[in-house]
Amino acid sequence: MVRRRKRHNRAGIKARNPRSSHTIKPVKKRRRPAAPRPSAPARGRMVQERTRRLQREESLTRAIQGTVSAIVIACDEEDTLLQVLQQLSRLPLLETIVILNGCTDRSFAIVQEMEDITLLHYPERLGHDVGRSIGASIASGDILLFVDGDVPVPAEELAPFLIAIDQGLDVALNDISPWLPTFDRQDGVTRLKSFLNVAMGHPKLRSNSLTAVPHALSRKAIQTLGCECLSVPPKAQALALFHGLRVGAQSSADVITRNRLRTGNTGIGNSLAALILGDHLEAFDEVMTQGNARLGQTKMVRADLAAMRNA
Amino acid sequence: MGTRRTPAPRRSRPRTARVKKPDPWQIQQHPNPEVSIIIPAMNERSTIVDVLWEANQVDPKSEIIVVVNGSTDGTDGLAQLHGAKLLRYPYALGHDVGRRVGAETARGNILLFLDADMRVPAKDLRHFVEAIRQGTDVALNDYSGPVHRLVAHPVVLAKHTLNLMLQRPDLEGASMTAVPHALSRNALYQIGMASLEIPPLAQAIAITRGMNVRRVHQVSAGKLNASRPKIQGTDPLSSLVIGDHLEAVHWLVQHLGPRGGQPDLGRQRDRVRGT
Repeated sequence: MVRRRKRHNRAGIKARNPRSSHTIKPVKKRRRPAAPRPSAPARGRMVQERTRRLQREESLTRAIQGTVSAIVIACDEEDTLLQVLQQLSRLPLLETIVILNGCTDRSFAIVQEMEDITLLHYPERLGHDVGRSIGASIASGDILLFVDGDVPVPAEELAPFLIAIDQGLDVALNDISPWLPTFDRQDGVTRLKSFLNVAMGHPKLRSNSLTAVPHALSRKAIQTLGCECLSVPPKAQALALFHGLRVGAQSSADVITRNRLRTGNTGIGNSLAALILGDHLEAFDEVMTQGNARLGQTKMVRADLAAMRNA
Repeated sequence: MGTRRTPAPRRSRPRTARVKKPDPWQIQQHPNPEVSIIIPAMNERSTIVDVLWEANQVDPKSEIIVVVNGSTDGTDGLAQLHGAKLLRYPYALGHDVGRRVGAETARGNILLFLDADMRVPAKDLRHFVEAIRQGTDVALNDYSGPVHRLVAHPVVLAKHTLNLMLQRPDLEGASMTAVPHALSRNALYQIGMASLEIPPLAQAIAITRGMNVRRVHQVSAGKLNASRPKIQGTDPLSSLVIGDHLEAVHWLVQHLGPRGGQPDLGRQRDRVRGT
């Protein structure tokens, strides 16, 4: 009689090969440790990144109804200016306006070599953001796109700004939220920008602001704000919200990482931070003068609010 | 009828004396107080006695002033029962107004402000009093609110930003909006009674006028706000607090000039005037 081997060993595990002579120990399946589930902010960023990538890929294929003026502010940026202009040339532009101020390098020569560019050249430095006002004052397009000459942004990432304005937005801001740390590690400038948006009743804009490029404005925005206030970007931001223009931050162009790679800087210098603080105070002063000190935040009499809350 | 098994009830049985309730403990009010503890209150009968108990332990030379306003639940009776100096209003005074009213009658050189709905142990409160005694003018609660998130609560943001504008980023999110905090009589004088009703404004004035303003001790005060209809994208109380912070900003730009004395780094503004 053939003695049948036990199908199961002592551990109760069904033996693979009943003929094998040794006891088959239970095989511990070594599972690869599961990748830690990303945190909620990280998951949010991943979804945003995917959405942005899809938007970018289809952005260049969409036709834009309005005419576009691109305004490039540059000063001593010969390394990057050519790339910036090359990317802009891939967009459907009416005109490209380059404002050079106080350049001591080859920037002027580089721009001269390119065709079809409106060049304004100032031997002396104009100061921060003044070039934006000058460029805006001579631009004739329906849509104005502002970029800096120091950080080349691919055309795919610039196109969404144009599309947003074309579809009715007045101010298309760059959404830098994906690159920001938690609040406790945010710098003073980020907090100022967030506070301005909250104070004006638009907390959803978070810390996105006209201080950052790239951004785009509609012709209506220029007519409402004028060009002068564009030299003090927080003031332009406050006035845009004050006048009820449609302000959104629907697309993200990664200028943060690119700039960090280029300069090794991870923060803003002290003098620039002080300038931006002054700009924000100027912005508040302006809208408080035109409006009121509390800017539409509740005027509900303190006693009524207390009664309502504590009843 | 035979004998009853139980004695017949005697109507003339003498009534035993009822057990007397013990006298309610009394706050030790000092005749010449050095410390004035000010507690605005509306409907806080479940916590006011505990708060008074702790306040009573803070300092022997103290007075305790409770400003009961718009109360319907007997908070005022409880305060009076335990010997607090009571200022009673039948209507609600409004957020932070009770602090002013209490401060106006305070006699001490050190003013400590508390809330009636949160019991804070006396040993924590003593830090604030001691700081004022040692020369601080405004002793703040070292609590900045929840900050380990991508987007902070608008009030937390406002507090941090105001301190930034006042060139005091070291204060982080500490604010006279929160209690407990303490003031010196000198600070009270500099700030003025009217501004005491708008805590961020009081803070802006204190710092700008060179008062010694410090964070001294952390008392975690995270209170949950009930969900309410929103104004300008935020709930009404947050909107009020943000409006208060904007009044402080308004004062600051009036006082220091449109850019608050910050540099313009050589902007050629006349080049763009009228564009």
